[in-house]
Amino acid sequence: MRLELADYPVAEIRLGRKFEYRAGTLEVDQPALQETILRDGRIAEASLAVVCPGDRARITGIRDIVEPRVKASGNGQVFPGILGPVEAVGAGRTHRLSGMTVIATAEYEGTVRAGLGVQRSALLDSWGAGAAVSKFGGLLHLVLIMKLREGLSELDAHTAIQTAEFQVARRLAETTIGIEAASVEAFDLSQRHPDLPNVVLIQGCLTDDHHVHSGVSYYGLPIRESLSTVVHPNELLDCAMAVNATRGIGYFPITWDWQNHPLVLGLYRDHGRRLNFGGMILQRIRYETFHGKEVIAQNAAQLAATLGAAGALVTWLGSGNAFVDVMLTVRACERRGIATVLVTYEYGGKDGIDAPLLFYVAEADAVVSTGSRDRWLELPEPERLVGPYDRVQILSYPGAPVAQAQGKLTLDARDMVIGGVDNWGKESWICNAY
Amino acid sequence: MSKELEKAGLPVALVSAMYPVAEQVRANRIVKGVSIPHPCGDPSLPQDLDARLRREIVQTALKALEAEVTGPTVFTPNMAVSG
Amino acid sequence: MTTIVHVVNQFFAGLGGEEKAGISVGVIESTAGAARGLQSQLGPDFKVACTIYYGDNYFHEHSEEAINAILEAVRSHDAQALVAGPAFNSGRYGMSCIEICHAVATALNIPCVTAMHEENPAIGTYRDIADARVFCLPTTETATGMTDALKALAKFVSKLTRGEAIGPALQEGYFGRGIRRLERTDRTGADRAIDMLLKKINHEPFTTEIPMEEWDDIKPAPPLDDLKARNIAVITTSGVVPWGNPDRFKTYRNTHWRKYNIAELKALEPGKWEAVHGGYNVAYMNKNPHYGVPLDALRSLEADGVIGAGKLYPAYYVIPGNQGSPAVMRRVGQEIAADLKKDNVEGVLFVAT
Repeated sequence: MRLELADYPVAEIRLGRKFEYRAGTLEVDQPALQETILRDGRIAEASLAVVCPGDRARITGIRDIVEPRVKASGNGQVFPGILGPVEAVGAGRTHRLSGMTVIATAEYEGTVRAGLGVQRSALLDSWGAGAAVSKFGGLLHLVLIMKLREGLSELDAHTAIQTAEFQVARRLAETTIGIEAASVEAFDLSQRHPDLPNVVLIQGCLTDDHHVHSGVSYYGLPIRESLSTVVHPNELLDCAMAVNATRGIGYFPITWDWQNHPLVLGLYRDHGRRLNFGGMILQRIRYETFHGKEVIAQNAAQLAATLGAAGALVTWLGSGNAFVDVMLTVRACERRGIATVLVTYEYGGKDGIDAPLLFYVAEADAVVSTGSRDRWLELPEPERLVGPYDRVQILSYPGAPVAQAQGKLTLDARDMVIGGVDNWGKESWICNAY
Repeated sequence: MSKELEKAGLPVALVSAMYPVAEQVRANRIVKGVSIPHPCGDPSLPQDLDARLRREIVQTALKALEAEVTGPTVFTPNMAVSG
Repeated sequence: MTTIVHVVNQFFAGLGGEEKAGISVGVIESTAGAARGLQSQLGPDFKVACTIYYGDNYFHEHSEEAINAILEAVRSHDAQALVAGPAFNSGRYGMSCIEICHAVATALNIPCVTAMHEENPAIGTYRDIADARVFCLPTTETATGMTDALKALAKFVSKLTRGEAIGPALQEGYFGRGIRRLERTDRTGADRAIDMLLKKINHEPFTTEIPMEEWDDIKPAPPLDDLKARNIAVITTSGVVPWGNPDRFKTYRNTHWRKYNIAELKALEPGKWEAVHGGYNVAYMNKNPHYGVPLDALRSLEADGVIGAGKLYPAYYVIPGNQGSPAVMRRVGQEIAADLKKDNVEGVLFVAT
């Protein structure tokens, strides 16, 4: 399967009356997009805004972020199983608008009071301290500001938000069809170098199997309690992975992260040079019994061995006891002679003196830290608010106090800022020991 | 937290499904819980059996409080309550 | 001219050995013993204003007075930094060096440096204290390495007093204090991960970025004899609280605890309680709070005489445990322990999710 990813960088977004991409400027037909979004009766109101890096703006109510892409050739279309039929993707040519994102914000309250299913939204500053800590701080954004109809179920809310953002994302990317790309990169694993070591990526995914959308979907199907499986990395580039669009949380990867997975891209770029990228394993984690955790660890290690792995990058998305599954996976791989490197964020509390991780195994002797999710953050006062909320609920329990989004904010972790936690090593964060 | 209670001289029976984590942090009296969201019971059982299982778990915890231990020790309740 | 003070024990001040270990804090208004070596390593831009000494035994028997006397001496000499030791493999001396450095850094906000062998048990205390102003350098096991130790101390303290930023422990060669700082580095995490993996596969050396940790053993509390006669209390981190969450617990990172009355209750009625916790599926707990607070089972055991009548504490304690910082959890544990002991509770059933 050979996929060519054609890059169309965007330096400016204009809200206008037609769709056009020309010399780095993207013009967007604002009334047409609004009409498209409002065709879904579940969305009561919709508007658009553009936020540029350096604007003293704060975006609230963020549920998901997506990069505009479209398939120009090859089987299927982007966001398979969500915008269109379930057709295998990952070959042909796909266009991306780089340097920009589509941010889905929505006013929605939800029906779940606490626990894993409660809906959450995050914020993003385009300047200052908030921009400096987020991987989205330096990008251009087309922000969709939506208000959902009252009384929607979580599943309806998710579907409405996700469909809207993906439709907009694809429509924007369509402006590049027929235009020459700034650059094209090929992604092809069919050639294997016999002398180079096989390296696989084991991607642990915390999913809530009891909830309507589990948090991670493949071709639109939420992943539930299941054994590990193998996917083709090109499917990620063609937007086959997506998330629960009612929950925007800083330490949870969002759709954009799956489209631009740094470990997938890194292994691909070294393929045929220093290693063979042997494949990607999706491993559902957060089993609720220790027995379950041990089994899934063995299962992922077995798959890695089946793929002929000499080494594995092990990473995860999640929080809490799901990390036990991850550490047991490291142990299971090492015991089979598969060398592992674990890529993870760390905790450490406000001052970095608490334990960095929740659980340890002696075999995890090679760990890369993507920085801490716990350090406090002081955000300055914005000049402009974008999004459905002018007050933000910093904490997500029933009856939590709210703060004025227009003012200075003190956040007790990076979780509230979308892109505030680097899950998979896209950035150059680290924690150094002093 | 349970270690602070123990430092104050109070024996603690810790019921947890994540008993290896409890062992790693060196809790001394650990009772295997059923599952993270329901350590003291099993909602898939009929109510009376679930209640019986819960009693067995609590009784195991009380036995742990009465037991002499020298380091982290895991106590396993008899989960087969339907017999 | 930068002013330093050097704090040493009676032996390294040249005043005598074990027989003098009981002498109290004293100040020599010049360099004596090891302080002479330190001055010579520091050179003419630095003045070791005095040598402060104390007896090893005296310090441990009268730590408060000793520290106060030392603080006074440091203050009165307007020191810009303090050097203590080196203590090599002496545990007693090492411990006093760490305690003195921490006290001086806290009271006077000046940087303090000490040095000892890596196996000195005082290093554990140094890490627990995690004081960003206190540094400990490695030395040889015995005083045969004195010259090198003084050289290293001199170099480090001159960096500190010049106001130079001190880099991470591995780079600068001091023992880490377990303080982890979020910073940028030269490559992305993904690049570092692939580089590290290739080194590992090729059996080349690499350095992990998060070393594995180990926890200390706690001596088990003695078991309960005659269970029927003992007062038992229930604590839970499941987050089960009265419906409406009256004490406003968060779903994660809580810092306070509460206890709720169960004296007249035989069971917890669903609908009157809810689970506030962001880290697990609370649906089961909401339908049946006994999964976190097994009151029905406890009452049944009480009725059968396994637990003495009236011996179940009339309230249960709760703090939702999701992502609780260990420091907070330690404090909460101490507070609850004090509360329990005040009411003569003798054993605890702790339910964790």
